[in-house]
Amino acid sequence: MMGALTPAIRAEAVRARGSAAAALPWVGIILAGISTAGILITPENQERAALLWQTLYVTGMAAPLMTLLAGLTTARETTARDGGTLWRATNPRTILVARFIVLAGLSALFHALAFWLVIPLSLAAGAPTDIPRLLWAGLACWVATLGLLALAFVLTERWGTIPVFLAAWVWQVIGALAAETTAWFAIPPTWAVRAMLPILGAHQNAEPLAASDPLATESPALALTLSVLLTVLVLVLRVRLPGTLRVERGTDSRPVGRRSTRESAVGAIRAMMRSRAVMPLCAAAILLAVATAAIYPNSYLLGLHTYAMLPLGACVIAVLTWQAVLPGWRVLILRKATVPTAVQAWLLLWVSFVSVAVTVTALANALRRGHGDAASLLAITQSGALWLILGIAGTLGALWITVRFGAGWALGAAVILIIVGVTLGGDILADTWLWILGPTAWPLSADTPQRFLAAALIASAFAVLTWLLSTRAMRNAPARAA
Amino acid sequence: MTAQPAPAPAPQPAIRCTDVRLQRGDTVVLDGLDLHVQAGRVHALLGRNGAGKSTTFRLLLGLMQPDSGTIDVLGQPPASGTKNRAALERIGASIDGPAIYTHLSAFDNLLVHARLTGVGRARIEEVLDIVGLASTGRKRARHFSMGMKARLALGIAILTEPDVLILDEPQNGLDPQGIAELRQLLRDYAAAGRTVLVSSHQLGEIVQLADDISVLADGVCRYEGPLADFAAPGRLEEEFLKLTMLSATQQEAA
Repeated sequence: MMGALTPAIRAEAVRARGSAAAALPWVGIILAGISTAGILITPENQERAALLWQTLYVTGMAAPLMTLLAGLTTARETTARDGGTLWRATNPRTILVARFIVLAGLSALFHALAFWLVIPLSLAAGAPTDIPRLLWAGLACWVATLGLLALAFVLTERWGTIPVFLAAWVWQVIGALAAETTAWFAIPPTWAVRAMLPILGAHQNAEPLAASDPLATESPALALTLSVLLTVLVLVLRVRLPGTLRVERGTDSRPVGRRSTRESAVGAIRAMMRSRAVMPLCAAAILLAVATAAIYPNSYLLGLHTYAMLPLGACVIAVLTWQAVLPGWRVLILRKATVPTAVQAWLLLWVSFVSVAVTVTALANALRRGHGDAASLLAITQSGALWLILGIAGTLGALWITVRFGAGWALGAAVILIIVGVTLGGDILADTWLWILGPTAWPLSADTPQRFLAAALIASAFAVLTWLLSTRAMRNAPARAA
Repeated sequence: MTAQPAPAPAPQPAIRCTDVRLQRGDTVVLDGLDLHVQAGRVHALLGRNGAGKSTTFRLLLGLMQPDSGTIDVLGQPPASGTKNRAALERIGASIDGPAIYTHLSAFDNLLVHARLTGVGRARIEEVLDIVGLASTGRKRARHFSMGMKARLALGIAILTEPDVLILDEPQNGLDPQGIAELRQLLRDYAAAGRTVLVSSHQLGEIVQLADDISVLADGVCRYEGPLADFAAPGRLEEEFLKLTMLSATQQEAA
C-alpha cells in the first residue's frame, strides 16, 4: 500500500486544487488579521487580545470548521463521483488514506495561518509577542483537532455534510461545557478543548487562567494523545471494517421504479414543502430558545440566537431548500418564471417565524424575571427587529451563494461570519468602530439609537441586494448547470 | 489420406457474462444474463430504459456484485471492493454520464488519473488533442458544454490506452462532428484489436458504429450477434421495437 500511497497523495493534491476545501484554510488569514486588529485597538491588553480569537476558535468553532473542511472534501467527491477513479485499479483504501493526509495538510495550513501569522503581524505592530507559545499553540491545535477531522471525514461520507455539520455544533458545546470537569478524558468532544486551555492560558469561557489554577500548569500530552488515538482508531475502523468501503458512490443502483420522482415540477414543489429538515430545524430552534429562557437569564438566549442559531439556521435552511428543489429546477423554472419568488417566500416565512418566536420568548422571559422596564423591553424589541432583517438578508445571501457557488461556500461563509461576529461582538472590540464589521453581532452590539439605525439600514439594503442576487442566480441556474 | 486440419478454436471473448442474476429488493434487474463481447469489434448494448445496461457496466467494473453467475473481463473476474483491483488496469470506462471535477481544468482532470496510473504529461496533451479539447484544456470544466464534458469523459477513458473500453451512451451531448469523430475513434480502437463495448439509444448511430449488438430486455439478452444478422439495412429500429415490445407484452401477460 505504501508504494501506491505517494501517487495517490499526488492525485489527491490535484483533486483539492482550486476546490472549496482548499480555499477554506485561507480563512486563517482573516482570523489572524482580526487578532492583530485586537492588538492594535486594545494596547492595554495586547497579549490577551493576541490569543482571544484562538480561544474562541478552540472553545466555540473548531469542530464545525473541521467538519466543514471534511464535508467540503466529501461533497466534492460525491458530486464528481470521484472523478471516475472508482473504476481505476487503485485500492480504495489507499485513496482514503491519501485523501485524509491531504485533508490533514489543509488543516495544518489553516492552523499555521491562523496562529503563526499573528507573529509577524503583531511584531510589525510593535506588540509584545510570545513567539514560542504561538508556535506551540498552532501545532498543538492542529494535532488536537485531527481526531474530530477524521471523525467528520468518515461521518460526512456516510451521512452527508449538513447533519454532521449540525452535530458538530453539539459536539463543540459538549466539549466546551465539559472540558473542565474531572471526567473530561472520558468525553471525546472535550479532548481538543482540554489540550488547548493550558496552552492558551484560558478557561473554557475564554476568561484568563489564574497562575495558581492547576489547569494552567497541566500538560496537554494526555489530551493530545487521546486525539491522535481517536484519529488512528477512526481511520483504521473505516479502512478495515468489511462493507464500509462503498465503491459505487454516485451511481443509482436502485431499479428505475424505485428512484426519486422529484425530477418534475410538481415533485420539486412538493420536495420543498415537505423538506423533512427545515420545519423540524425551525421547531427545534424555537424549543431550544424556550428551554434556554426557562433555565438561564435573557443574555444567554440573546447570545445563543444572535451568534449561533440565526446565522447558522438561516444558512442551513437555504441550503436544504435549494437541495430539495434542485433536481426539478430546470423544469420548474421553465414552467413558472415566478418560482424563485416562491422559494424566497418559503425561506422568509420560516426565518421570520423563528425570529418573531424568539423575540416573544425573550420578552416573556424578561417580564417573568422582573426585567419588564421599558428600556429592557425596547432593547429586546430592537434586537428582535435586527434578527428579522438580518435573518432575511442572511438566508437570501446563503441562497445566493448556494445557487451560485455551492453549499460548501455558503456554510463556510456562515462560519466566517459567526467567527467575525463573536470576535467583534465581544467585550474588547464591540466598543470600537469595528462593531460595524460584525453584522452577525449587530442585534447585541447595535445598542445605541445611532448604531441601531445604521445597522437596520445596512441590513435592509443587504436584504434587498441578496433578494435580487438570489433571484438572478436561480433564474440562471439551469444555464450554468448545462 | 491426409488428416483434416483441426478447425481453428473460436476466439475467447474479451468480456463474458454467464447466467448473471441480480435482484434489488423485489425487482429482478438481471435474470440470467449471458453476454459475449469479442476483441477487435465494436459491440453495442441496446435496450429500453431500465433494461439493465448500466447495471451490466457496473458489474463489469466491479462497482456492484451479482447475486449469482460468472463474469470475466480479459480472463479475470472483475474487481470486488478492495480485491482484484488489478483487473481494472486494462479497462477504461465512462458510465452514468461524465464523472469529472468541474472545478478543475480538462488537463487537471486527466492529471488526477495520470498520477494514479503512472501516465506522463505528454500523453495528457495527446489525449486532449484526440478528444478535441487541446484549445480549452486549461479552462475549468464548470464552463464546459455537455459535449465538452462528454469529450473529457472519453479522454479519461482512453488515457491509459486500455485493452477494453466501456462507454455508457458516449454520444450524449456531442455535436454531429463530435459524433463522427467518436465513431472514427472507436472504429480505429477496435481495428487495433481492442475491445469496445458501448450502450446507446441512438439506433441510427449504432448502425454506423457497431459490428455486433446485444439486445437486453427483462434482465436477459434477447439477441446477441452481428448487427447485420439482426436487421436488414434501415430496419434496426423496427426490429428493436418488435423484440423489446414483445418482451414487454409477454411480461404484462405473465
